[in-house]
Amino acid sequence: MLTRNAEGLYWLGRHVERAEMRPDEGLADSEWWSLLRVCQAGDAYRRRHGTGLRPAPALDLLVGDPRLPRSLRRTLDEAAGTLESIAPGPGPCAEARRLARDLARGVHQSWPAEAGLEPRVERMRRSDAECRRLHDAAMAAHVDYDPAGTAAG
Amino acid sequence: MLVGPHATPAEREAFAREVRANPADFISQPTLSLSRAPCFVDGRLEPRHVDLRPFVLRGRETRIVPGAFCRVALRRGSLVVNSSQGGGGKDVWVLDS
Repeated sequence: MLTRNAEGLYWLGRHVERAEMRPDEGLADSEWWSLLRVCQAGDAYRRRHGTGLRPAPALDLLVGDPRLPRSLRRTLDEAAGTLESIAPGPGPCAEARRLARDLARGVHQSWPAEAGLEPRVERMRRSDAECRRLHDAAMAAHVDYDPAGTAAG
Repeated sequence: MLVGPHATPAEREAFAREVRANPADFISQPTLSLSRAPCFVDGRLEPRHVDLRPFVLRGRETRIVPGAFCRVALRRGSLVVNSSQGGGGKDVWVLDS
């Protein structure tokens, strides 16, 4: 297995795992700050919203910011890009790429505009089934990986 | 990231201050004794630490992908293989199963 493919599969797993994570509605402020820090979003949050923690804007940043390397939107785009490099063309991995792109577009275009955490959490719940399908389809990228060098389908 | 046994007392103390300030941001693990593999460095073979991440898929059945992700520390003696911290990778070929 070539390093670039192995690294692609490794990161694919990390991206899909991140896409399936959901913040608990009952997080304490300190836990939100920890989440922002580990997602390298703490400074961006402070620049936009100051030092007071509000869960809804924090979640907006963590989910939809296209410039944040660990946002859900970027993660899904990265997963689609990784799948493209490991297994371009038609086949089972094409479904995974489509799902990842659709999910990335979905969290951007149909993300709640109203105030409050509840509609955001509900929106994330609605994408759970698609995330599980992405999980299964991404596993196909591993199962179908062809060590001889022919791109898996 | 800090590899305690390889860090200076000053580095350990500075890192401990960060951990005390934000304990939820950190995880710890024992220092692993990594294997070494020959690497071609500056025209000659030298040992470098490596780790190997196999891909094992568990569902209704368990599958093992024919290959793995091998990460390598690029500096002599270093245990840091993470690509985000300056590590590299090596191709892996499964010759028999």
